[in-house]
Amino acid sequence: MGSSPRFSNIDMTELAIKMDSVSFAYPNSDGPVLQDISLEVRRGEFVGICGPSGAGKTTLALAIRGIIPYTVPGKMKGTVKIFGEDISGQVPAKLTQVMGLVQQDAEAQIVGLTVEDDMAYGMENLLIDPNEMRSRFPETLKLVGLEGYEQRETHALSGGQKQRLAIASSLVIRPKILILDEPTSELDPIGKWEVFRIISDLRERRDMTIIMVEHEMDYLVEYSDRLIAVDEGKIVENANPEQFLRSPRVFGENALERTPDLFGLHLRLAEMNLPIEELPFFSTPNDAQEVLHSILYKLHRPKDTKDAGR
Amino acid sequence: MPVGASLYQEADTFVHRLDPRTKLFWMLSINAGVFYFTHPAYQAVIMLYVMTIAAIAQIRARAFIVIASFVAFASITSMIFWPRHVHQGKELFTFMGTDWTTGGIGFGLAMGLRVAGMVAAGAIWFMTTSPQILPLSLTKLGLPHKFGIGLSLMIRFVPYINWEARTIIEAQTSRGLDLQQGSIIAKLRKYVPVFSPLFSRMFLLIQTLSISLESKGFGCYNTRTSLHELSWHRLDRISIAAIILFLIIGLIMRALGYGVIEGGI
Amino acid sequence: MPVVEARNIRFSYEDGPEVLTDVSLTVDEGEFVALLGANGAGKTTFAKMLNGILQPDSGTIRIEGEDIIGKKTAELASWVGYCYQNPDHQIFADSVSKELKFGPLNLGVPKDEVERRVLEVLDLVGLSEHANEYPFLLSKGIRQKIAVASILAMRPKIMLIDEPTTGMDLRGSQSIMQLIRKLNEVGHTILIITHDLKIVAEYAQRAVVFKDGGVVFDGQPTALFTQAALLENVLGVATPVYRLVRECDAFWDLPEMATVDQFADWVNRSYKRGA
Repeated sequence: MGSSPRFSNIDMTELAIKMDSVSFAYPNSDGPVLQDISLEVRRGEFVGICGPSGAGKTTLALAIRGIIPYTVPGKMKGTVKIFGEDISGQVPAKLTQVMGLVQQDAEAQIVGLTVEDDMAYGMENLLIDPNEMRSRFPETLKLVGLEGYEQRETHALSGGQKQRLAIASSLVIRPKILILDEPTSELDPIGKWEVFRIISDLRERRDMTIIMVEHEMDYLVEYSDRLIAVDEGKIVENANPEQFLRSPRVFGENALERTPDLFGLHLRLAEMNLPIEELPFFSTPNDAQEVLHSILYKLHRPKDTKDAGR
Repeated sequence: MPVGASLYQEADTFVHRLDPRTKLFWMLSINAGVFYFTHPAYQAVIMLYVMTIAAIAQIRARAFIVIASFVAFASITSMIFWPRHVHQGKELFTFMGTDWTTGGIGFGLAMGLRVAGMVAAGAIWFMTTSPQILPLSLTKLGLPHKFGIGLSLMIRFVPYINWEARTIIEAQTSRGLDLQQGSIIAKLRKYVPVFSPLFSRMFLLIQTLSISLESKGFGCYNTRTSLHELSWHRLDRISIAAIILFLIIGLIMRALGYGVIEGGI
Repeated sequence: MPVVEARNIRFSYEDGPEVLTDVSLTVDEGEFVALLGANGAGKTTFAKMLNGILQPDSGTIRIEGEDIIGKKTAELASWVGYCYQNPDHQIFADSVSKELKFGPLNLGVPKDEVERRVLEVLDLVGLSEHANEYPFLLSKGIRQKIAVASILAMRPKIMLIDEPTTGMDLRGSQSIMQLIRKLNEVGHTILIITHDLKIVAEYAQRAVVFKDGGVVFDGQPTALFTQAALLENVLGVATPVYRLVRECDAFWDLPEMATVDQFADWVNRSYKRGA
C-alpha cells in the first residue's frame, strides 16, 4: 500500500486543482468560513473531503467550482487554479465544460420536465448540436443505471433516481473534473450505494478528476486515493487512506467522522494477541479477506473441498 | 405527455401538429376577432368555431365541461350586468329599477361570449402545446431565454412546491394545528405556520437552483442550441393564411354594418 | 396495557397496490423501538396511521386502550407526537420559545401551563440559552432538537421521530440520539424511523423491520444482526462486515455476521478454542 497512488492512470505531472492560501468570509458574517486553504489535486485523482457540518466543505466545493465568490459573494483571498489557470473573475458558467457540480439536494438541480430535457439543458447552453446531444444520452444513462429513461417525467422519479439524473446531467457534458457535495446524505442505503457504484465505475473507466464531499467513510476509504478532513475552515488532515485512518484528529477523541467498519475491525483484531507478527492494513473486504486468511487458517478449519490452491 | 403543472393534453390531431407559434397567432386572432361584433349571434358563431377547434384537438370531456361552465357563467353575469347600461331595441320588462331591453340583454350575452372566447382560445393553446416546447416557441419569437427558462421552471416545480406544502401541512397538523375549524380570518392566521416554512423552503430552493443553473452554463454564450425543434410546415402556412382571411372577412363584415346589436354600438 | 396496539392493518392508496398487508405491532410503555426498511416498504405509511394522517382500510389501532381510527390528526397530537424528518418543515416562529409554545397552544393548554412546559422542555433538551434566538440562524443539529422539543412540549404518550440522523454529521447524530436516549430514560416511549444500522445497534432496544408492506422481523437488534442476509435483502445493501463474510465464504464456513463486534468476537472465540 504505502503512499503511492493506487491507480495507474493518474498523471502525476498535471495539477487539476491548485488552491493557494484561500480564505473566504460571507458578507456580514463574524468570521471566515475558509481559512488559509492550500491543496493540490492531480489529474485523475479521487479525493474525498469529510468533516463536521459547518466546517466549510460546501464552501470549499463551491470555491473550486468558481461559484464562490462570483455567484455567492463574499470576501475572498488567495487563488484557485484549474489546470494551471487562475479562475478568479471568471464567470462560473464559462467553466461548465471543465467542471461539473452535483449538490446535495437532488430536486433543486433538476431543471427539465423530462430526463432528456434535463440532460440537454447544459449542452444547449454550451451550443452543442442536437444530434450530438441525442447520441450522448444512451451511454450516459447507462452509466447511471437509467437506461431507456429519456422520456420519463422528472417529477415522478424517486429520490435516488433524481440524484442519479443530476449526476448524468453533469456527466453528459464530459467535464474534466466532477465535484460532488454530499450527494447521498438525503438518500436511503440503496440510493447511496447506487451513487457510490456510479462514482466507482467512473473512477475505473475514465480520465476524470473527482472531488467528493461525503460522510460515508466506509465508501471513501475504500475508493479514494486521498482524503482531506476539514474542521472550522481549516484542512486538518490530508493523506492517503491508510495514513488518514490512523489520524487521531479525525478518528480519535472528538472524532470528526465515524470510524469505517473494516478499519474498526482492524483495530479490534490488532488489540487481540493473535499469532501473527503484524496485521497488515486493510480497508476493503477483499484486502481484509486476504489478510485474515492467514489468521483464519491458524484458527479455523477451512472448507475441505475449497482449500486447494492455498 | 410531460405534464408538470401544465394543462397539456397529448393527442395526435392536426391542431397538435401545428407549430406553437401558429396556435399563438390563432389565439391572438380570436382575441381580436371577438372585438369586431356586439351581436350575440355573431359572437356565438365565433364561440362555436372555437369549440369546434377544441373538439378537433380532442380536448378531454372534463376540460370541455369546465370551459362550457365558464362560458355559461360569463354569459349569465354579463346578461345581468349590461342591461343596466344598455337600453336598445324592444323593451321587455322592468325589474329591480332597470328597464330590460332586448338590446341590453343581447349586448350582455355578446360581452359574456367575448370574454369566454378569449379565455377558451387561450386554454386551447395551452392544452395543445407541450410545455417542453412552449417556452421554446416564445424564445424563437424573441422572448429572452431567462423568461423561457423561468416559465419552464415554474411548470416543472409546481408539483414539488405542492408536495412541500402538503408535507408542511401534515407536520403542523401533527402539532395540533386544525386548519378546518374557525372563521375565515382565523383560518388565514392559521396558515402562517404553513406559509412561513414554505417560503423559507422556496427561498432555499431558489438559491440552490441558481447555483445549479450557473454550473450548468446558464448564460455562457449569448445564444443557445435546442434539443427540440419547431417545425414549420405547409400546414402552418395554410393555417396562417386561413386565419388572416377570416380576420379580413370579419373586418369587412363589420365595416358593412353586420354583427351589430339593433340600434347601434 | 400497551401504549400502542395496532392489529391487522391493511392499506392501499387509491388505485394502487397494497402498501400495508396485515401489519400488527404492539408497543409497551417506555420502549425504544426502531422501525426499519427500504423506502416504500411501509414503515412511514404505518407511522402516519398512528397519528391519523392516514386511515387504514381495515384493522384496529389503540393508543392506551382507546381506538383512534377516524380521529383527526390535530386531536391525536397530544397522544402521538410525530416529529417530521426535516425540521424546516415545522419551524416558523421568530424565537425558539414561541416555536415550542405552538403545539401546546393548539391543544388548548392554558397560557401559564404552556410557559411552564416550555421552560421545562428547554431545560430537558439543553436549549435554554437559545430560548429567544431566531431558529433559522441556528445549526441544523439545534433545529432538529427544537423540532423534537416542540413535540415534547405537547406531552404526547409516544414520541415518533422520523429519521433523526439522516443528513447529519457524526456529532449532530450523536447529539440528537443522546437526547432521544435521555427522553427514553425519563420514561418516554420512543419510536424512531431510521436507515442507520449503527444507531439501531447503539440505542434501540427493539427493531421492527418492514418489507413489501409487512413486518419481517421484530426483536432485539443483536438478533437482527445475526441475520445479515435478511438485512441485506431488506435494506438493499450489505454491511461491510457481511461483505467480508461473503468474501471469506469461498474458503470458510463463517456464521452470518453484520457488525464489527460480532466478527471480532467470533475471531476471539475461534482463537481461544484453537489455542
